[in-house]
Amino acid sequence: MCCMIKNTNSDEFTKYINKLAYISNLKLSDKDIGYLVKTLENALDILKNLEKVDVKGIPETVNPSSLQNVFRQDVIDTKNMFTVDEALSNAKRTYKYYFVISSINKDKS
Amino acid sequence: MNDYSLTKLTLKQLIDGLEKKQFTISEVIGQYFDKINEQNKKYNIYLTINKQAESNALARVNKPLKGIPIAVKDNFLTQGIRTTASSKVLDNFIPAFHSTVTKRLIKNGGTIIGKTNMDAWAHGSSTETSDYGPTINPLNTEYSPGGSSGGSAAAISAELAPIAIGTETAGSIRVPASWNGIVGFKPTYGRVSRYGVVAMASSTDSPGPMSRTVEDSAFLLNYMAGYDPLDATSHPSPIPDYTSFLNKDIKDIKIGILYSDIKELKSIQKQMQQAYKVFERLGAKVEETKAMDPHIAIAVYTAIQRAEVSSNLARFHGIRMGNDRSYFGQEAKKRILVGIHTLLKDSKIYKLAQQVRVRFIQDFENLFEKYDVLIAPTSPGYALKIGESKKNPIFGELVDMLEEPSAIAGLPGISIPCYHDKKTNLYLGLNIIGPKFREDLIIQVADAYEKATSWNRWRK
Repeated sequence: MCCMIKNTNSDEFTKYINKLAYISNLKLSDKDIGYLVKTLENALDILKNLEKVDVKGIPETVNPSSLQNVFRQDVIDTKNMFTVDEALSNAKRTYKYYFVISSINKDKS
Repeated sequence: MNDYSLTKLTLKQLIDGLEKKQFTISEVIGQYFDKINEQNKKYNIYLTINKQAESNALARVNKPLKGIPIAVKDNFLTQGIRTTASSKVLDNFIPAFHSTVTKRLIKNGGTIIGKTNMDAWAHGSSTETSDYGPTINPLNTEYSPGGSSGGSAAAISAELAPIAIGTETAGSIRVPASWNGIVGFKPTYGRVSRYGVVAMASSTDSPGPMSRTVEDSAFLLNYMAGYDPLDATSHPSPIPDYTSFLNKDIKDIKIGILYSDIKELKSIQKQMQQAYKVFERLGAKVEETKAMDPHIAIAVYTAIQRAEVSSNLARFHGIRMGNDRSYFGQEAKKRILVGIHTLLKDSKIYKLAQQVRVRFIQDFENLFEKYDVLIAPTSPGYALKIGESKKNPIFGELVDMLEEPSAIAGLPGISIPCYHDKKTNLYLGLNIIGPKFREDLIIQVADAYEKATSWNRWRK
């Protein structure tokens, strides 16, 4: 049920790995794919153990803390601010006060 | 020949000696620098050394920590000092601010002596996924120091630091502590701020001290723990003076022994039974008990940790800092892909894992109605040889399997040495687990055990 993949030894599985890589913005080499087919198969086997536990009526959690709805005042915290220079200090490409990124919209004109 | 006598002292002995003016902080830092220069290449413990350590320390001698040197795992952001998380993605990253933990330690007189090697992004249990090569176990150079906080553990074991800090999601403080014959303390989730720590699994990450003695861990925890408004999961309850729980008896404390029926522990059962008997001698009420199967916790941890990894590593794209995503190693790529898989809309894995996690939380709540603390081995065995991690794609999960149940429940635990194998010079660790926010109780029990036995090599 939970692991979806019926046959990990298939082109379909390799395609699925490439889909996951695309979503993750990762480029995979042939060597990566060979390694990942083997190791992902193993991870998926482990996940099947989840189905052995009866969870009927059990709520889900997101973390083990008992804290709920932690808010802060919507005010500027001047003690925890960066200067522009500090904020840009580790960026490879900058322009004036900005980070520079590669274009993500291809020009279709 | 260099004089390294000051590197033999515990944190408490160093502080006492500095207070009594038996030596100076310059002499302490000087001896550590000499020893690091001589031995770091052999063990690959420090990735970066703070060359300003002596001047930093001299300015802090009047504060509680007296300028003492602290080895810091390389996933704590340190202002002006390179922070890589052992990944080439962050090869040249110089943070503009400190993590809350390093900020508090410095404010109270601590000095960062250097940044220690770890598994890249804390993904692993041997330091072999580090992009800067593995750390070597100083107790026996054929063996791994464990991980992910392997550099911090080895720094103490090799006496290249009097104390260190690490982080744990499930085993990353306690297992390397066990494999290096030192003390490793993983506090309750939310007891020590995660702010400024390179995030791995945000719902379990817990920074903690790694030390030579329980007393040293208790002392350092006083300056690490407490509420931090910059971390929304930081708990607002006040912290006690943890050192006030040292030197207390444990008469009538109720202790449950976990996991004695797990097949992976067969080879160390005899040694562990000897350790458990010490508590009986000290007047505690000790009995075997049952808990949920740790093999199921491996599945919960695999699902949740990978999901959180895929989300946390999405922010590393080479725009604001570091290199682009082509610099990720295979272990990180694997974890990201499994994480995306568990989070896909038509996959029910994540939700199911969070339900099973609640079952573990409930299981521990029931156990703590009957027992004050729970005990078990830290790891299924001694340190493993370098290279073993590559033979098993879930090496880390198996090595950490005895921490995973309590870690996903957010509970505190400490690993202390409980057996020494003379043939290999390696140690076994005893894991003492307590209820949420009962670090005091863990310190009391661990300190009593440490003082009643001869396994701690700095107490001899």
